[in-house]
Amino acid sequence: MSAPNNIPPTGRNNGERPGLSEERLLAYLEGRLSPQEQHEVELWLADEGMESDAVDGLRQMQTAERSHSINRLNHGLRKKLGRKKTKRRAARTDINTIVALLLVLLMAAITYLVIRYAI
Amino acid sequence: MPSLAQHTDLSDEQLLAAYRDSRDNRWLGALLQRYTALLLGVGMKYLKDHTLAEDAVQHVFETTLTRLPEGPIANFKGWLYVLMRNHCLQLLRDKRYMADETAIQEVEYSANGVEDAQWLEHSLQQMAEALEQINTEQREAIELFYLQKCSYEQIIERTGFTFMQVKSYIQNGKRNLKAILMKKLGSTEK
Repeated sequence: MSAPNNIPPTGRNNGERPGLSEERLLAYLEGRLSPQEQHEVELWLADEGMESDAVDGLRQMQTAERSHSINRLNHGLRKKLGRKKTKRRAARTDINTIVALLLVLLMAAITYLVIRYAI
Repeated sequence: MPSLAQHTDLSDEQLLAAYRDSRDNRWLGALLQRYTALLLGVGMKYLKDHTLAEDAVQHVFETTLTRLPEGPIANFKGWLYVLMRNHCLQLLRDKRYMADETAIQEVEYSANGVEDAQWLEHSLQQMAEALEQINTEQREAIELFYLQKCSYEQIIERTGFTFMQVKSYIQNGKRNLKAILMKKLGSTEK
């Protein structure tokens, strides 16, 4: 087993107990933690919750398969976010177009009124 | 408003607040990405197939990005866990995927997670008496894990249990100890 390392022990949620970071969870599954660090992770497994379920599930996958799946999912998520951003830009363009059309109509109305009453 | 580059230093709650303020999905994306591995693991536990598990995670991502409730979410991780677990259980019900029986049974117990941390505060005397009442394997696993601070690997070496047995003995032992201690305190009916 490797010596203690710099893998962050916790996540960043503000709950009563800090979360288990993904880095530490994966290091645990890959056997890269000292016995003491393993015990700290396993305190999570003694509770029935997300971490406990996740370790049961992730242990069924090979390290490479696990890593590929996580990368694939994160890549898909980033792509999805990119698409949504583009859609939002398109929506903004639509609003701009509507505003421009309204301005044109307003100008046309003013022109009509000026022509009608000025002459 | 913090910058997106700082997202690793922010708590879940801060990321969620930044998303609600800006409506920029990238904040939500940064938050979801923290839980990819955990979600995948939960999916694997219930669905037993990595393709199905990945699909389930993608479904949860999509649901979160498109239908995040407007109201406050006090515990984002807990909310995400329930969303993922319910989706997996729905798939199991709909398509009758083969999951071990315990997977569904365990869900009923997980709602007690918040109380679990409190039972350790009971007196050592009561605990010692309660320990005598649980079965030998559970007692051995609990003593090695909590009293001697052994890792699962060390417990496996000493006892010959498998990883899943160690995990199960500790979880079930804790649950049984809690029930015994609650009974001793006369509060089982509460």
